[in-house]
Amino acid sequence: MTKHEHPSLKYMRREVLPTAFCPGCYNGIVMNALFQAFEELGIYDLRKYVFVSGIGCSSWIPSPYIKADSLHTLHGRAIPVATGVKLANPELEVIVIGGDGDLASIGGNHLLHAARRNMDLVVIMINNLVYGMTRGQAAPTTPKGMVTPTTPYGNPEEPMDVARLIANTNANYVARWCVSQYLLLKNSFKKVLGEIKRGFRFIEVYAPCTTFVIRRENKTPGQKLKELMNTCIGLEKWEKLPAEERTKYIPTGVFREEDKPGFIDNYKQLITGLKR
Amino acid sequence: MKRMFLSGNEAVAYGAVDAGCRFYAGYPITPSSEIMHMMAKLLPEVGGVFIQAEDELAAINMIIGASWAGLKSMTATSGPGFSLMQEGIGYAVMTETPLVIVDVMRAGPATGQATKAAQGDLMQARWGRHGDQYLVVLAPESPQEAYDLIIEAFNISESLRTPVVFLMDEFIGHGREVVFRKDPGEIKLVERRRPSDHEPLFGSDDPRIPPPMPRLGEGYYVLVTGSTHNEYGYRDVHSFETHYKLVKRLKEKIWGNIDKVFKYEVIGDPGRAEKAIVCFGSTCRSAKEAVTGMDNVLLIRLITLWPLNYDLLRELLFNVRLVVVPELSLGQLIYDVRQVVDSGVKVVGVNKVGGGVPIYPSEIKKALEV
Amino acid sequence: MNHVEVIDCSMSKAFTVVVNSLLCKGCGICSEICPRKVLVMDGVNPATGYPNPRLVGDCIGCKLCMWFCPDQAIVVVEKR
Repeated sequence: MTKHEHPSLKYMRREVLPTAFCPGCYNGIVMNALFQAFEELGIYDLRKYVFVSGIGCSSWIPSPYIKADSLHTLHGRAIPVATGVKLANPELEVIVIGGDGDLASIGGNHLLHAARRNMDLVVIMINNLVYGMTRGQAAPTTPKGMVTPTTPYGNPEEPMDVARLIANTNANYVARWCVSQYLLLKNSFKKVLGEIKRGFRFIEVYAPCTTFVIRRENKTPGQKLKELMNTCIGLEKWEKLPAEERTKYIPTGVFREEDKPGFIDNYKQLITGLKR
Repeated sequence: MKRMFLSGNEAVAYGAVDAGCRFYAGYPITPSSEIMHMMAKLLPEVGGVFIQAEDELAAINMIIGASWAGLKSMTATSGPGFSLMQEGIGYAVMTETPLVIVDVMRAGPATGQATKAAQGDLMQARWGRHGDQYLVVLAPESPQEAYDLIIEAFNISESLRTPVVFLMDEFIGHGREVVFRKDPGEIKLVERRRPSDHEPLFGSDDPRIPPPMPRLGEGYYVLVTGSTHNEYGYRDVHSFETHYKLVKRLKEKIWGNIDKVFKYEVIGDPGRAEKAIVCFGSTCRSAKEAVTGMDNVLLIRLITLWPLNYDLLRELLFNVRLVVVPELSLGQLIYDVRQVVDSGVKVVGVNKVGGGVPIYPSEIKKALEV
Repeated sequence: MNHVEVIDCSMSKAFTVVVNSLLCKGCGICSEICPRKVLVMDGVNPATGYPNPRLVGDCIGCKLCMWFCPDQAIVVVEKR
């Protein structure tokens, strides 16, 4: 063990490193932001945190890399499993980490309803624009026209703006950040882990897949990060752009934020006094 | 003990609560919805949690999460929902998650006849998951037995760290009979074994003894995964040894405990009988009526449908020349019977399904005269 | 991660940059993101087959390389 190790490593299972992620995969950057958030909140032991994930590259972040209780579940089903955990033991903070394919495609229904219920969960959706683990097929977030193994002539479909969709539900906190917006991302994690601790808190991280998106653009992950630093702009600024300009930029920011009672508070209120 | 007048569905709900079930997630589906309605009412009264899920996929996954957080959990459904839950049940087998899944069978396939009894989910209850997986399947024949047996289902799920499928049909689910509900002191409950020290949580030297199960949030940092894993929960999607060892241990965990979990009822003398009936669930009610007064007929009522003690069945049927297998389906249990008798023995199915029409005692009697 | 191989890039006056070469996958993000352009991807590590970053100038301690390293392989430490 070296005298100086990366501050993220104390939250990770060192025995399984290096990670299986591709060189230059942005998953690790999201992890750094998350761990820095824990550190700045003074949380060094993750025993009261349960991580739930589905299937996909970003679902491997907690399992096995985070040193905490983790449930690596079926494709698309992280949110219901997380719901069961939280309802059975509300003392635990339950964090779902998954990708756009897992959470918004096959798991889309569960995402919608958890947001509707304002279920007391933190959901981090790492949007890499494709199905990375299975080699880059189109996903509901793939830009129109993009060439992938299942859209060899270009994607005929319009993509889904997941954060905007979830912002139209009852959720307490909905935000999107680019992976290049490290400080804003880290602060967002601090907000949902340290300040707003109830209700549905959804953070989308725009992080294109290094191997199946960035490389196809003939760029390196470092170059893409620098590009994102210029193309990710605030929500209000984006709204003010003329329509033709909007497609060149990615709107990021907080879509909605409020600290109102979550599902568990509501349920408890209805059943007070029933226990015999 | 309290004398009540309950439907099978209601009996299941009371039995589950008495067994210590404190979490239910479900989706409405005929003819099982009453189980959910009862749990919605009963659970908050005992400090439990109820949630109506958005679909069966959510329901099965919610109860998996709740089980890992430490609560005994259950869901109930019927054929179409049972089909949707298969992947989740397979995940529970792979991760050794104690669960109870009730299937109140109706005529299928697909939407079929929602309000009409059937027994066509037997093979699915055993084999519905992809890959090498084994679990326990139980089937009561009456609301009273539904009450007692659901408690047993929870005990088996906790002691073997496995999901248990509980098969009823619409007749039992909706039919009403006298049920004696036990007092708490009269019920023996089994809880999952908790870990001591650094025991592996997904492996054991004796496959018949399941590993201990921790509760989330107690610092075990447990790695639960549906991928193939070693005895400490670390994913291994490459080696032959890890996978083969895991699936063999999971199979032996069920089949190695067959003496503990295989339940059945015998009416008649295997030594004397030349004819036999093998049945499960509501058809046994007609079968029992059919054999009253007959002394050369053996009735074997299976309560545990999986694992199946083929050796025991073979022994019981050794003297028999004719076996009648009444089923509210086109025949699934009959394949088990054919396996355990010699080729010279006549095996006849009484098969009827649809319209809510039961198999009558007279039809079984007629089959016995063949 | 059994033992750690460290490349101690101590060219800088005020900061030490330590690279854990067994974790580094040579992705080059640190080199690209460094605002002073003092990190250069170099050579082939015989243990991993990947190039590792090498410090070629004065590090100002901004820590961007640390934040953006996906493999937690680079650490910026203030020299006492």
